[in-house]
Amino acid sequence: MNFRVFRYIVILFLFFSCKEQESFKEVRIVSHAVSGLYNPQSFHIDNTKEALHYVLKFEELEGIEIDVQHSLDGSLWMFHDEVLEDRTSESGRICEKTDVALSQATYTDINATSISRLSSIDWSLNNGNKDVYLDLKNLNACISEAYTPGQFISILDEINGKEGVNVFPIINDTAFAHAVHNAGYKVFSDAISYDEAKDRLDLFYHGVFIRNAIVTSSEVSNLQINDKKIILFDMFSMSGVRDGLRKYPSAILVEDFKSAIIERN
Amino acid sequence: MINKLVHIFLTTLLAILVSKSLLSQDSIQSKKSIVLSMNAEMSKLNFFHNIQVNTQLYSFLSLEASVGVNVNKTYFQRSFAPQFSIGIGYDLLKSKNRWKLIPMIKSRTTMIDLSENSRLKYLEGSVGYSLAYGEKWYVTQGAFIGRGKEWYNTIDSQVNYWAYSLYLGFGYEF
Repeated sequence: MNFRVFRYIVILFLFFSCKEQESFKEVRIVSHAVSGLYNPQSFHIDNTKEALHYVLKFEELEGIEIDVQHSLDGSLWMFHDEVLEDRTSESGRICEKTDVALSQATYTDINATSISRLSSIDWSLNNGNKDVYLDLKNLNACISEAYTPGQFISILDEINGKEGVNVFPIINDTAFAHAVHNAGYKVFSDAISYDEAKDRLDLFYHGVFIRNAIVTSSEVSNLQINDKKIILFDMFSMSGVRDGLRKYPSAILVEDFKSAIIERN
Repeated sequence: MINKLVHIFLTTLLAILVSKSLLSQDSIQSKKSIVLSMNAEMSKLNFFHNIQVNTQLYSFLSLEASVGVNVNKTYFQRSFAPQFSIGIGYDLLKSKNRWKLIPMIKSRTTMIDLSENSRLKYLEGSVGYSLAYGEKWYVTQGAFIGRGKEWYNTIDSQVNYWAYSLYLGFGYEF
C-alpha cells in the first residue's frame, strides 16, 4: 500500500518536473507609471522623479511608461490622476495650474514627495536601452487649454535619443497624434476592444495598449501583422503576468517590474 | 546610518553572549528553553515563510534567529530568494504565565536574483514586538517597523526605504 502511494507521488513529480520551459525572451517588460501604480513593494510614489531615477538604473528593464500632463504654462508634469486633491496638497487639475504652483505641491506621503516636472529628469542615469512611453493624459481637460502638438514635439525632441532612450508618445486624440506622427514619431494609442485596436492600427498608429483580459493569443498575433506593436496591461498578479506572456505580445505593462523580469527570464 | 546601527546591534549581541559565557557558572538561571516555530510573514518586500528559533539568555533576554524564503519568488517563480534574521529582546512578562511579550530589535537580510548577473540585496534594521501564547505549543505573532536599504550589485546604486513586517505562526518548546 505504502509503495503504491510512493510510486504515485514519484509519477506525479516526474510529470510536473518534465514540463517544458516556455521562453518569453522576446517579450519586453514595461513598468507602469514608472514604478508601478498598484505596487506595494515600490519604494517610491508612481510618476515621480525619484521613481524614474531609480528605475532608469535597471538594465534588465526595457521600457517605462510615464503619465504626463501639461500645465497652464505648457510644461509637462508627471502625474496620473485627473485631479490633484486625492493625492496631493493641491486641488484642481494640472492644466489649470502654473509651474510655480505645481512646484510647491507635494504628495500626502510620509516624505512629502514633490510632484515632478519632466524636464527635471536626469536621463544620464539610464543604464542600457529603454523605450520610454509618454502617456499624454487629460489633453482636453481644461477650457483654457492651448496646448499644441508643436509644444509636445519639442519636448519629445529634447528626450529622444538621449542616453539610450527611445521615446514613444501615447496619444488617444487622433488629430493631435497625427501631427506628432508626421513629425516622425511612432505613436501609440489605448484601445478598449479588439475592434478598436484593429481600427487604430489601420490608421497611422504604430501600436496599441490593450487590456490582457479582452484579447486572446490569436487576436494578439493578428494585431501584430505589419510589425505593429501590442502592449498588454492590467496584470496585477504573477499568474496574470504569466497569462500575458503566453500571448507573446510585443511587451507587457506591469506593476512590479522586478517580479515580471524574473518571471520572463 | 543603518550600517552603524547594525554594527552597534551586533557588538551588543556579542558582548552579551561573551558576558553570559563568562558569568554563567556564577549566575543563577531559570530553566533554558528553545522554541522552534514556523511562521508566515508579510513585509514590505513580499511574503516570507520562515523557520524561527527563540531561546533565552538569563531569565529575561530573548534571542531570536530565523531563516526563510520569499514565497512568491521561491515557490512560484523558481528563483531562490532566502532571508536571514536575528533579533534580541527583553521578556516583559518574564515567562511567568502562558504569555510572552518581547519588545525586540531585529536585523534581517534577503536577496533577489533579477537575472544571472544581477542580484538585489536588502538589509533592514527594525524595532517591534514578538508575542507568544502557550505552554508547550505556542502561537506566535510579531510586528516590526524600521529602515531598510537596497543594493544593486551591477551598478553603484543604493536606495533607503521604510520597512515593516508582520508575522503569524506556531511553535513548539523543547
